[in-house]
Amino acid sequence: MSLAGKKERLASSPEVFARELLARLKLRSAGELTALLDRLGLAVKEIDSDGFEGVVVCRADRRKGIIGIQRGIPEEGRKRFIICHEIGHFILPGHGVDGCVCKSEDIESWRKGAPEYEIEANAFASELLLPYKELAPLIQRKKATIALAKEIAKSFGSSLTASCLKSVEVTDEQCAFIYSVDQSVKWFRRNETFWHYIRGGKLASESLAAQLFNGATREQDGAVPAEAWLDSERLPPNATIWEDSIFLPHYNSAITILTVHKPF
Amino acid sequence: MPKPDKNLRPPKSPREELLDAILGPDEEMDDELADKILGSYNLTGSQLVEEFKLRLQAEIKNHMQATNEISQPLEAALKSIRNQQHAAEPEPVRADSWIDAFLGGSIGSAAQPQLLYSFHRQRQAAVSANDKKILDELEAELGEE
Repeated sequence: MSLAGKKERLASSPEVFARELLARLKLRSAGELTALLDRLGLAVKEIDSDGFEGVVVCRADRRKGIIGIQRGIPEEGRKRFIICHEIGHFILPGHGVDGCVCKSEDIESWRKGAPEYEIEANAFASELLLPYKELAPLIQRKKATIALAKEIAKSFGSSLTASCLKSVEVTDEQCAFIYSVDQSVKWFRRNETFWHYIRGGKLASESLAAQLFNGATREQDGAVPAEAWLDSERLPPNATIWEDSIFLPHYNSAITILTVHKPF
Repeated sequence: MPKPDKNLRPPKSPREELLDAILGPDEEMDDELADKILGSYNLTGSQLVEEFKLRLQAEIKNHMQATNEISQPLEAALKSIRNQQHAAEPEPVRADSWIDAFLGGSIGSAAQPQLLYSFHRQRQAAVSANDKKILDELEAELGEE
């Protein structure tokens, strides 16, 4: 199991590596993180970095390491996600070969063009904090909404972004997650049943998210014209889609969960 | 008449002798030396194979457009290269064995512990002076433990 040279391929997804780790340590989820960090020989230190949100420095034998996390990140859930993301770099095979400074735009992000290492570390962190096994019964009993994601974030100590994303992944509904910055779609992620094409670029004025950026309210949900979000060529007239959006002023961003509430 | 030795090599041409003088005789050329020579030109064997594969693919496409038929020999060559590339790839790492090894302390075999992440050395331009200082401090702290 070489740590150098060509990046090693994972035989299964990063989520499976996270599940294996939890199972070996007899943990249901990352929980308070202390037990997990102690067992892995990792210490966490706040740093005053101006270029990255998280970093892990470790010895080649991976017996010990220090995770540096930027001071002043307002949400506890976000901090915990970053720590789990760095644990991903510490544990996943092939990580750390090229070295990577974890920038804000790559943590909790599935944007196109994000480095493969970062996407893998995100998937690993998401499963560590929000294990599928624990969440599936909870989410499949209810609807994937921002209100539910807030409950999950509180119970599991995760960020709202990670909780919304996981809800969209786990639910049986046709859902998509959209992350917008400065009134434009930055990236999105659809679940397996949501096959509609989501338009990129500037948010349509009919979308609730666009209204949130204009300061109307902090959070809104309701049916909106489907063409506000989707490629209009194949849409039947008057098709609507359910939008649930929340504005994150600290990041000048909005999170949206789209759900196909009436098939079209 | 005695049966000729099948391993007997034909005499070398002046060109072959010249190449031998420059690169060393063929029989002394092992994989390591070949890699070294390619490396001196900033090339690797897998790079050359990949380039050849792309040329082959382009050739198959051109042939297809010109004749409306797939060239069987070219397709067989392409398949052979793909198989070879696939065989050269390392086995994917299994989650269960990797985590077992990780927790058992058998990942990485450095006798002298060394730092694995030295971001500022690898991406000099991407890290500010302040962040370089932070990374140095983290490294120093880890080294002290």
